Amino acid sequence: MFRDDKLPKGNSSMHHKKPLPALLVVLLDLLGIGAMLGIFALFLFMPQSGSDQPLQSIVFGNSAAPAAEQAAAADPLESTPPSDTAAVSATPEPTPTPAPGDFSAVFPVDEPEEAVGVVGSYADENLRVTVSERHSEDATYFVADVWIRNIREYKTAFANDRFGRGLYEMPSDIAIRQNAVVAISGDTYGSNSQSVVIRNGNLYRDSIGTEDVCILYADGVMESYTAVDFDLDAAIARGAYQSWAFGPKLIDNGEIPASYNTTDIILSHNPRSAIGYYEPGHYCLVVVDGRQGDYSRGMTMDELSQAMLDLGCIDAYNLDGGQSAMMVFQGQVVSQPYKGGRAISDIIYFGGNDPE
Amino acid sequence: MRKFRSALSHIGIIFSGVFLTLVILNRFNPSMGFLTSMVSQIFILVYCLTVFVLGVATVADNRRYAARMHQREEEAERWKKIGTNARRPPQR
Repeated sequence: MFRDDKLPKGNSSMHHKKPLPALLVVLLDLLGIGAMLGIFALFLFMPQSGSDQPLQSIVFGNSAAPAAEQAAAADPLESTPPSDTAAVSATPEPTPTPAPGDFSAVFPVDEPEEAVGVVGSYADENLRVTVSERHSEDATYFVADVWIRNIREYKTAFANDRFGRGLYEMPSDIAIRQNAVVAISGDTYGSNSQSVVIRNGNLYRDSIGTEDVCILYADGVMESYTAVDFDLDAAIARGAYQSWAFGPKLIDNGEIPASYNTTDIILSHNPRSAIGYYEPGHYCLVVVDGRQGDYSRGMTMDELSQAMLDLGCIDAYNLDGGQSAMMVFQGQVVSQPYKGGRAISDIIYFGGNDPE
Repeated sequence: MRKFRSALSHIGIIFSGVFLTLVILNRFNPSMGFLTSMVSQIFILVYCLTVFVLGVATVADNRRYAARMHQREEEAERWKKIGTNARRPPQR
């Protein structure tokens, strides 16, 4: 604003610089915006220094023994030397109660049935995986049907094997390093500072964000919550084993949710990554290819919910999709990630190395 | 004062541009925490302080300008009266 009352006495043009051209001012402002966005990205994406140790061990402690083994070790009859057990064998043995997280009672023992579209399968004494390729109207998607004998077979791994913000690695690289039988991309916890992170029985972050939360409990039950309904203390007390905070939850009381806790853009056709739950010990991993023309357009959130319901899931949860969505089976990427995929913070995997 | 206000205005424009970009990015990927991260909160704080100081400076400047204009009008009125009196014939 130019005011004559502000002008000094005498010839004003001698005391006032000629203003910069308007275009130059606009360019300088745009440069400033770019610089500030650069600073923002630097702080948002650069690895944060700090402890990568868990805040709290929720279940299993630091022991590498499975829950069933721990339960057995806690049983004085089982821990008695063999010579002494003969003395007590006269008494009838009580019927063993399965320890929480031991799904031996439901773990299938018969040979898996042949199915259409099977990409590959794997079976050992603790894990059974069948990966199949399926098609919907606009999408090609991959389903890994997983049976586990013990909850410890449901594993997660961090990029670079470290917990922390700004740590990223290709899901296939993490899966190969962990010798995973099957793996999918996780919730990319590392790009968010406000989300609960519980992995392999350890609490790493206890802040709650605005996203829906999914908890896998040590007894094998998987439940999804809205951010409002989620109670971290209750989840810890119940024995939370894994948590994801991306969302939204895909099934609400056995039906497609009336609304989702995300933006409209996310709800449209996109590549997807999701986990589903049938019963303790029986789960599925789903990756939907998308943004690839005639091959696969992707799924809307409603379509993904419907697909999970059609698979028979009673609970299901959406993970980081888009370019991040990827499924790896025995070291090979079986899905067709958009633009080859991208580095993320974490994976969910079965088989392979035990978490440290 | 004018330079100070000009600098604050440009800071305001820059932060507005940053947040317009972040709001759009947040629509595409809300889980990245573009609007909820610690850096965003610091930026919001700086932006609010900038706009607050700019607002106070603008209001203060406008009030000073209005007061000066009022004072000038009063002075002009006074001079007008004096001038009228000067043309008046001397009182006995």
